[in-house]
Amino acid sequence: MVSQIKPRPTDYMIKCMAELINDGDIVYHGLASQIPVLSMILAREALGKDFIWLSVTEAYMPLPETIRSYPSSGDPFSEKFGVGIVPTYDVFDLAAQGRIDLMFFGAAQVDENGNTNLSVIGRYDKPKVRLPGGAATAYLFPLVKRIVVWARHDKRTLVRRVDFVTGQGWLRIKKGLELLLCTNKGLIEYTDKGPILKAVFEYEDVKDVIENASMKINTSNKLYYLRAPNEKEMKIIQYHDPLGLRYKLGYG
Amino acid sequence: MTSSKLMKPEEAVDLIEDGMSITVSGITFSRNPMMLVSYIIKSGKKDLYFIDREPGFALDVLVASGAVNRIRASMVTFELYGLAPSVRRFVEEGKVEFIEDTCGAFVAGLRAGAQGIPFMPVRGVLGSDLVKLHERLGTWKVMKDPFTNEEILAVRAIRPDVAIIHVNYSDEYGNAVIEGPRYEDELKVRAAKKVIITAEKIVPTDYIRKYECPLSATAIHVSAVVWASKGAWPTAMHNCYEADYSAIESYYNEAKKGNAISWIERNLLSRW
Repeated sequence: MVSQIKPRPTDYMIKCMAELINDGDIVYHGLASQIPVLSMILAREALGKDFIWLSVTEAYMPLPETIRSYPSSGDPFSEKFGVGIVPTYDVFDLAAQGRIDLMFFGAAQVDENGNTNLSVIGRYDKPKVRLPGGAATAYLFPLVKRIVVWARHDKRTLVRRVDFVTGQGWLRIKKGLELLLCTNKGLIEYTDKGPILKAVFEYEDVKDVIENASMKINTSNKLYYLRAPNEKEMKIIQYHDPLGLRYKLGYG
Repeated sequence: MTSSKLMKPEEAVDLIEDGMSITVSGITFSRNPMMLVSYIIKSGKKDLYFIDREPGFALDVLVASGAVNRIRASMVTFELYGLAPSVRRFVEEGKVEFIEDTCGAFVAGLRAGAQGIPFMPVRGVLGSDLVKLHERLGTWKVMKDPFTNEEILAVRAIRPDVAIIHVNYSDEYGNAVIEGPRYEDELKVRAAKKVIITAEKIVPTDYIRKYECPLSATAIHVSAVVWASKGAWPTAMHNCYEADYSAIESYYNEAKKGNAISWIERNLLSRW
């Protein structure tokens, strides 16, 4: 029996990103991606989305009911009973051919041009903070059809200009490739007119959401409110993440 | 078949010289060759150039021990716990150089190394600040596709001096099998100048012959084979054991407090 848990901002993010997965998509998740993993589970188990699951664990189409949140989203024991192993470099090759539909990327900074930074705060050769590095970000940003960046919604993270362009969002915008930013307050879409606030979590105030960023964000005239995961959806999230590891990532 | 390459870990470590470039198997907390890493630390090697795509635990303990002075990697992370504590500290203090790569380009460099060609063109990447960094270092170059004139990135071949690859089983000659995720370890085997295999089990060649196992490495590639039961601890080993996250977390907490060395002595060096 899983006790009922009140949805928190992290759970709203999970639902928000789950709703961005379409039937027929080929979707890949990487390391340090506990939130996207749960979004992929929710998309499959609650929203009934039929998509191809690829990941850094290299388990191809693991059985959803066996997937559990681990401290490493690359843990080979976290995604079980796949049809087989698909090496990550096969996924990179698929991406180079334009055949990966959707990926999720984390970022320490995101700017008005959709650029992301996971490299350094400060100067590259004398960093104030040496961040983990972008993994496949720079390689995949120009190649994947739809990209969702997830990041904290605060003034330090949503900046006017990133300190280092790890992910070249500017190039995606120039090419007309979809780029979305899911924060722990709402959903932003990048356009050639800059970032547009598309949706906010149902309890958020739009003015606060816009003012809690250093980047300039315009508001969509079709802005909508994102609802909390319902009871069934929360049970699914909790079943796959019984220890609540998702809440340790600092998104609330 | 060639002669047996089975040796003790301290003998295998002698294949690595100060200043060499090394790469290891696995990712963050999965299939790191921890027993051999422990022997590298014991041997006092220094100035190693660590090359890998998404390293974690093995790299951090090597850096904490003062064995590494340069890193080339796409991402170094302790995932849920945070940034790799010793890597972060040593890089920020200017003691270790960090060359950030990106996964697809890194794999392309290994492919070029494995194929014995000087470079590999790769899509993506252009427009990232990483390009300026690598052009300055001479590891990447923006070139024109000779057929279409399109701008494309050329990645110089990556050929680590030594690859240390932990596998599920191997015979004494280095005919070795990785079960489960292989990442780009088979490319590392083929790109490296020397390969050290550490294996959970040493099996007779006839066992491999009987089951016609797909080989991740062969005697042709391998210089040394070391028996390393539970040799990936505390990282995970597919089909053998799960990661010991309580140990990883305790290392992380101790390393953040500046106590990495004593944790390594108590938990790694005394273990093997």
